[in-house]
Amino acid sequence: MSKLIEWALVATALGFLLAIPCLLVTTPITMVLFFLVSLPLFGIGLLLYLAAVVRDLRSHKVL
Amino acid sequence: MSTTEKLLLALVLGIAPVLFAMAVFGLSFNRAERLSFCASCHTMTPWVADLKNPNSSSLASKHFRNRWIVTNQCYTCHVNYEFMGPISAKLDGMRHVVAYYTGIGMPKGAIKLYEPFPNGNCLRCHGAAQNFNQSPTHAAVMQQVRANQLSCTVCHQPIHTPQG
Repeated sequence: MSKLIEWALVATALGFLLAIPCLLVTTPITMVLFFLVSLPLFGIGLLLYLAAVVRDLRSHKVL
Repeated sequence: MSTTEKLLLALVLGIAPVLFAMAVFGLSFNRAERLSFCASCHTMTPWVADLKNPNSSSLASKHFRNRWIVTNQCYTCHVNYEFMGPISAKLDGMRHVVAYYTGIGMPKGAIKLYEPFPNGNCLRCHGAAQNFNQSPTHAAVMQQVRANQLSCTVCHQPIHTPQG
């Protein structure tokens, strides 16, 4: 598994972890945590994953 | 990496976070309209205490105690009813939390509205009400009130009497 995928998994896992408080009890603090930390982490995870996919496709000379 | 592993990664890193985020987004936006959400910030405690005070003469308290507004009492009056109103209210709320904990963008002095209270927020409920439209006092200033040139709050006071 590439480093990019590993970091993507870490970012996404953290994103899930920090979104759970907002899912259980929505307060201004948990909402800020979700919108300002979790969502960007999900975004970073997705971008890293896409970068890994592109890299894999290039290595197979598909792109 | 096998095809199954690749599909699993796509699910874990792509599809699941998007679906989960959409669910939390929708749920939290709905919950953020409740009085309990506003009351969970201790900065709001004096305002919430006023709402629940049976002897308060404030307009907000009367609306709450008499259930003139059944649910989401803070939100009903304080969100502006244009397209972006609900979103901008929630962004403001989050900005307040960041300002409170970091000091960045913290306004000085007492809590006050960013802009004068729009009559549209009152008229959304009262605008079509018979007792509002047939009141001679209102009839005399109806045009100005509907055009937001004369604020409802000029006559209808006090709005809040924060306690504690």
